[in-house]
Amino acid sequence: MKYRWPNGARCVVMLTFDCDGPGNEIGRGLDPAGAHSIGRYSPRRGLPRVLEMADRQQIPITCFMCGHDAELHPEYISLIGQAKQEMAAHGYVHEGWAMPPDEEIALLRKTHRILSELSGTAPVGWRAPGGQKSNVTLPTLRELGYVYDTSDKDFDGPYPAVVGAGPSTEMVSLPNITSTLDDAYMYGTGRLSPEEILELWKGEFDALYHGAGYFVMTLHPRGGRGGSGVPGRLRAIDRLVSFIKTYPDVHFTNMRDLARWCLDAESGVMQATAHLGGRP
Amino acid sequence: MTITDFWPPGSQAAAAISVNLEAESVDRRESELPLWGRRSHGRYAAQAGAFNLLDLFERQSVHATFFINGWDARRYPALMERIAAAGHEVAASGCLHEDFSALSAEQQHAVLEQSEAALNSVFGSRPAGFRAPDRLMTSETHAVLAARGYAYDSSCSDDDVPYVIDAGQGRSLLEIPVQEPYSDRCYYEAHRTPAVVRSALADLFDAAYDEGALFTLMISPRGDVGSGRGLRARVVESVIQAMKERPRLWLATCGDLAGWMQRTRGPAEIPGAAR
Repeated sequence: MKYRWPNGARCVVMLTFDCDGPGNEIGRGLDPAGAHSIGRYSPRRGLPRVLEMADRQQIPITCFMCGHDAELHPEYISLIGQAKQEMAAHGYVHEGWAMPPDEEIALLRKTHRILSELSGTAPVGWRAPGGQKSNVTLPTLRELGYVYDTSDKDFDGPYPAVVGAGPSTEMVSLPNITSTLDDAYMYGTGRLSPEEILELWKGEFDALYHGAGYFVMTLHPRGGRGGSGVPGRLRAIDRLVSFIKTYPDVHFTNMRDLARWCLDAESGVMQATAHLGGRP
Repeated sequence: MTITDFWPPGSQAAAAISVNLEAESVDRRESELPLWGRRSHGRYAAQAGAFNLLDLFERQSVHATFFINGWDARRYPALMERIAAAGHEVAASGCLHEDFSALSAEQQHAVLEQSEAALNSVFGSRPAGFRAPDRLMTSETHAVLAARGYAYDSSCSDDDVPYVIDAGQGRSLLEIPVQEPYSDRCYYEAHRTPAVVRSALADLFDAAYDEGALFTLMISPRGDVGSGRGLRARVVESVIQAMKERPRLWLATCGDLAGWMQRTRGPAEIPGAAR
């Protein structure tokens, strides 16, 4: 499918950062010490480095936060606010596991309240921690006013999110495409060098630019094996941004603005369900 | 995001070379059986790999910090003599490469006591520094180390520069942070090639240097996940050569960094962006 993008752009580009602090490890029952201290790198070094890069490159980005980390590091939230970047929700302690509906709903609400209170702005977007969702997830988020979900890897571009019984007209799914565009997989499991990952991502961008024109990166500004926070790995992202800018008609955006575009009738995204094959 | 005004005058960044000896102790922990065949990689570290690394450190005139398990210290006296004679720093790890994240504070004290006794009997002094085996530890480990008189820990990955830890009861400890991607094991355990490791370590070092961050190179002399063998030792040597070409790099041991921090920082001073 060919999308109609803002400003007549040929390709939209979204750099999204899952800013998991120590909450990720705590949620998995790990003591965030030693090798498991990598989450603390994010508020101290990784996120400030990402925000500096975005400011220098003059691009909007989207920062996903866990409620626990926001409570622990309110300054983390202020950094995002001061940089005027979007903050969205990413679970309380990165709960990437199935749980009873009541418990899940309570955590979604709790994180929403924490992020809204600390930032002064209610988040409108959500990414499932570890890709974990259930039947109650999107209906709950929709009730809380969320307009997009970016958890799935099932399509090359946006489509109406399935909320409860069927496709929604008020909530859009912005797929995060594939694990190849996620540093946690490519560094964490693939153990690529920064040079290899940059070449890989340049190739991916070129193919997607000439395809659906929808490019989403899922990045983690933490330390350790799977994170992009350290200088040499953040530099690969910085260079990718410079590379992308050499292409004509590229539109860098955050997910909130793209979601609003998709929900606008002019984009046609919410009407275009024909391509969704077996979807209800 | 360049870190400025942190390092001693004349230096824009610092680097340390650290060796996790991870010799026979690692395989011994995992097996009561004789360490033959696939369980002999650790023996390679002590019999050959570490000597190859020592040779290249000598050629490059650099000093490293060796984190040594007590078992290995007692088992390989010739290697220990060579490490000490070359003036490298000796620091503690466990005894039998124990998983500190599974130990209570009392159990950690007991392992450290044995480890210190072993290092003391071989080297005649107690270590100032510690790195947890596989960098696995608990939130109590820093307090345990401070109570035992250690100057620093080097197990955490939560900052770009050394920092002061409040270890409770009026004690403080220094952290010399490390990053797994700055190690050889990160790549070799996934069977990546020496060329990839060369590229990764050199690029990661370059960026750390440019941004004023500490680059703690973390290598192992093992035959499986380490750099003890010829081709891989060459990669390490090439990375060290690249480091030495940087004019404003302070190439120090972990102990040097800790000593400098002790002299220049008050216990309450905890640098960093947002803490």
